[in-house]
Amino acid sequence: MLKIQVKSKDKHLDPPRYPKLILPIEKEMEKEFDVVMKKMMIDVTKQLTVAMKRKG
Amino acid sequence: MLGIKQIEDILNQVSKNILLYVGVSLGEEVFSEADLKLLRSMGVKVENIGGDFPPYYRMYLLGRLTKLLGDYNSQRISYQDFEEYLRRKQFQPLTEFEKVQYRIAQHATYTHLKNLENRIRTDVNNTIISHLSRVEYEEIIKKEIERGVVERKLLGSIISDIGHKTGDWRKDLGRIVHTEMNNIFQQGRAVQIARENPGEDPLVYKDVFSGACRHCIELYLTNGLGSEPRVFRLSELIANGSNVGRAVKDWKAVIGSTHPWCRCHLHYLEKWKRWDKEKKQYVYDEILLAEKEKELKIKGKVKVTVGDKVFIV
Repeated sequence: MLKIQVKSKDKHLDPPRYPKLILPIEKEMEKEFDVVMKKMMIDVTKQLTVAMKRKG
Repeated sequence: MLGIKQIEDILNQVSKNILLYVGVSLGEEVFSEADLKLLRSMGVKVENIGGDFPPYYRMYLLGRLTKLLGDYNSQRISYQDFEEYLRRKQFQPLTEFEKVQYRIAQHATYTHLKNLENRIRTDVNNTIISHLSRVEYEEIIKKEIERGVVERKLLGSIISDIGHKTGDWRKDLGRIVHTEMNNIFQQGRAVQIARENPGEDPLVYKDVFSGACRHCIELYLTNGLGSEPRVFRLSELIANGSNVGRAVKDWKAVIGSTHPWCRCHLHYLEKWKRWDKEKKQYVYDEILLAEKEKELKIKGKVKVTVGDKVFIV
């Protein structure tokens, strides 16, 4: 039987009203998060390495 | 195996980084005592971490400015003009009431980001625990495996698994950014509407996009897409607060985002405008427009400077 997938209407992506003004701020926040995630991965790796050495 | 203290140290690295992000995005004034204690214990300096205009504050001021300028003029300024407007402090300072409103919105966004921090901590914790349990089992039943080999494998697989989860966290963050930034932007517009109508309770409506969800269509339009918007008193939308934590069936018309990803746009309904069914928008009524011009002659127009651009509105 053919099943039709309906995309959730709740998660629509409306464009901002003033994209030239709003998007730079939103993009800056998303970019900053990507940077933070990379730093976090480095910090977690370092801490995990230290913890495992101590354990040994 | 790693002890509780060692796992806590790893999780604190997660918190430190997410808190730094919170501070840069919202400003350091949102930090709780516990946040400050943790950051300071890890040698992080938080003073002025978000600068004078963290993105959240910028979005609030942008909301105010776009309302002040109107749609047509807002589309004539560039982001560089807006940056100059901030740098030269060409905006009106926040009143005490606006400061309180801003802090309330800021704290709500802080809570969303703290929830994300908790989710990341939980995911990292669960990843470590599940790997540790498996290695413990391997160590017991496979004595021939060198301890060092197990540890290297363990480290690599934990980091790899955590890395795979960053995509989900990024999606969560994307939702928070779009929803919360629209929220504070619309709050800025609401504040400006109130400023322009002192002592009054102005009429407002939401501009609903053609691809909007059925909830926004029901809440903000009288009869489906393209129909006349429902008109509210500004105080009514303020009193409705936020839909966060409400069941979908209980969602109300609000100033900010009605739901995640919402971008419906708050407008002031001038008393000189009437709904045009054919144009599907509010237009100036010719008779009433003469009254507007008469009133403006008494009230006077406002000069707004954005960078080097000057607007008379």
